[in-house]
Amino acid sequence: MRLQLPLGPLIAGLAIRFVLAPFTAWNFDVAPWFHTALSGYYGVPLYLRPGFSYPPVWGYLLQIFGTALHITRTGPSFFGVVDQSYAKAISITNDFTDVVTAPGFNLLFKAALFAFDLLTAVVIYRFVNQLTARPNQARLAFLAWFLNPFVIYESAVHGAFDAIVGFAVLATVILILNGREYWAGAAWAMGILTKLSPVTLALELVLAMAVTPSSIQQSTKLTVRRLAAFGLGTGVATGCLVAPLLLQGSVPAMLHNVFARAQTPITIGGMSLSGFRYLKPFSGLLEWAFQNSGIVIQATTIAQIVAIVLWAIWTAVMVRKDRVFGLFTGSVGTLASFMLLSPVANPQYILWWLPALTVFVFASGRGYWQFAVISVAPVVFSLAILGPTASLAPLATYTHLILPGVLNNQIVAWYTAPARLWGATLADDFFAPSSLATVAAIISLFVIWIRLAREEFS
Amino acid sequence: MDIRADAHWAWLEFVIGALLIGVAVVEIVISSSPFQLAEQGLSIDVTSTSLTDRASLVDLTVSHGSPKQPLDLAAFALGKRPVRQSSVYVYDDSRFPVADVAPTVPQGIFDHLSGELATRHYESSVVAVSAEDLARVLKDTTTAAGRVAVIMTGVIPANVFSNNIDLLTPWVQAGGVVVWGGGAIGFWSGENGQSLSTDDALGENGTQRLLGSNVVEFPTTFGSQGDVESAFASALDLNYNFTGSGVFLDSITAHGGLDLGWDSGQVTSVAYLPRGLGGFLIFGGEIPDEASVSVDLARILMSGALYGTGRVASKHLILSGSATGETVDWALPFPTPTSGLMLVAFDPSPDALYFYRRQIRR
Repeated sequence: MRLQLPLGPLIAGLAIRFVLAPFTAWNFDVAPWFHTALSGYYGVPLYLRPGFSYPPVWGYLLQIFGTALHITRTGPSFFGVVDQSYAKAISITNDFTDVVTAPGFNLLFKAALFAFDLLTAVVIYRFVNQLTARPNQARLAFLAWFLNPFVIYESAVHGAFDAIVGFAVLATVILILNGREYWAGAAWAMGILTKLSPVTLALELVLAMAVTPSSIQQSTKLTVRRLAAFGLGTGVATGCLVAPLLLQGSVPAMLHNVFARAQTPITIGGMSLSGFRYLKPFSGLLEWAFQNSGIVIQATTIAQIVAIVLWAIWTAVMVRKDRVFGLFTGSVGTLASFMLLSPVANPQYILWWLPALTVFVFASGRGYWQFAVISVAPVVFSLAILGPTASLAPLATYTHLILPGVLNNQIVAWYTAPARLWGATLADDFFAPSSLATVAAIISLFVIWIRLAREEFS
Repeated sequence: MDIRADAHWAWLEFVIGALLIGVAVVEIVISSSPFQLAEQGLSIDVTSTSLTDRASLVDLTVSHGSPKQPLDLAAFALGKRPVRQSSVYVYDDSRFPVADVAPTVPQGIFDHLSGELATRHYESSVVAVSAEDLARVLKDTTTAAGRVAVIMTGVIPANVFSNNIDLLTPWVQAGGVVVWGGGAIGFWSGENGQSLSTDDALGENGTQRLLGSNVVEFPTTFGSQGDVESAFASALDLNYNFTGSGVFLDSITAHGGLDLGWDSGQVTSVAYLPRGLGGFLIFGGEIPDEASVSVDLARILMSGALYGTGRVASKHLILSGSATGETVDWALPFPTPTSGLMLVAFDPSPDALYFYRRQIRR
């Protein structure tokens, strides 16, 4: 059956993204993209200079852009500039930088993110239709993802690459469900080598493949073959993606950048269970966690491991009754719990599991309001970090429609503003409800799934 | 929920395969010759010089491959000490407390500085050292000349400097260079595994023991920044401009030092203070961002600026796209001393690699 993509939402989604992209960026996060692309421009291996502290996939893409611009004799100013106008915002917030990415570069690297947004939308659309045989429901799911304010904010404004992880996770689950384990393994490896988080799905995926009904009805041989295909796909894809680093002799540098550079005293909060620390009575928890980083890391790591094991058991039990229900709830549950139990969870981590959640909500017809909350509250949280204008540094530096000095003052004023409601600062007044609403929505989804399992399978 | 068997997912497999293979192959190609360490084809040739004790003329030919190629030229008179690229020891020990620096700075300084120097083929080693290793380096005063110790943590470990210990002064007197960042040097002395307390504050007295009195402005003022670029900062395109614990300009003059930073009133953000055969390179304020500080420090170390007398000239060029080399005739505004001058050229674009240095003797 040939499916016609919903062109209206597709064009609208792309138009919104391309309008927002050039003159916005979360410059603290995209500054490493700027440096990584420049390392491609100057022919420097990915990890020789520090700054890119992730596995290599997104770095490769940025380096390819940089090299392409070098070949086309584009000057290095295409990437951005260092603008000293924001010195005060940098020193007071520690969350801003003087690197301002240029409109052309913003458009270029965000276009790659849009491609993954679109690819994910197409996969969601086709799979919801495969599950429901209802094209209208599939269109609704497409729309819910591609016109989702949080998805648009992250790729078009922030410039976060977490949607690539979301795509890889979704592809992994769908390909397993369709009996294509080799390519599922390849997609999973791609996700891990983009941002390590999909590694948390290892136990769940292996158990799901081991106990899935068809393998019980048939033979152990088939189960072994499935697992072997998945392992082979994972291994081949990993080898493929690590090969450039092996040839450069950069594997130790990658490990250092990915692991060693992340070991700083921690903070707590964001979209995790510790989000309640934004409420004034609990504001002292931040300092306590900073002073007791070791205890916090140990406790959260143990909690995360327990959650991963519990979700794997859940999946193993549920896939026997309903493979789609088991794998989707298990995958979303694992990644969402991993996020909730992290000491600090950035809003963009939601993109790791939002594509899979979109499929499940629109295929099952359960969890709409939770989905709506998760689509809006993280945007509020993100905008509250340094104020609603903080992402406009490219607009300020390149057009002066808003003066850089004015933007600098607005960021400082927002960051230092006292609370008016329940927080310790003005930002906390927004952080607390958005974080707590997101956490509540996720836990509410878990409750729905447990009820659903009782109703349908008991 | 049941999966209908009529859907086709081969296209998704194709997309994943194409992504994996495409990205890996292109990355392998671009990380191999001729792409690796391509430097825009920039090269400089000193075609003629006329250096006397009255005037200094330098003629250069610059070749480049990119249109509107920016190029910064710097020339400075050299003192009598022999110029060398020193071994660099960067203090990074997470067991010890820090002050006036962002949490990522202690390790980040090493990572960024070693990266900046490695990409420009710095000739000497760059090593991260713990507090114990740092003490070992400092105790060996016989090898101090030709060594640089970078301590950008705002706190000196107590086994190196405290009320009773001072390993820095003899080492600097013997020829070592201490690079400092994060508040006033000597103010804090930190203990292994302990957070800073008032007992760890040696205060102004600690600073005076290392640098002398009336060298650093007290009380220090967090967040203050210089807005007047010194000649050296302009020549080397140095950006560090925090002056909260800045060094007095009068003191630099009195000690035969160098103003390498941005000035705010009577203090500067970066100062070199010679002591004995070595000296202190002071970044006089907080360190919120290790990356840009590392770029500045790499330029200072690569250029040999610490061997200068203070007389410096600079040119900021935007080269056109001509295929043939462009000539630059440069009359320096100072005579050349007997020890010669240093000519430095670099691409000031962020992250650019090109860096040229040549010592020219009379």
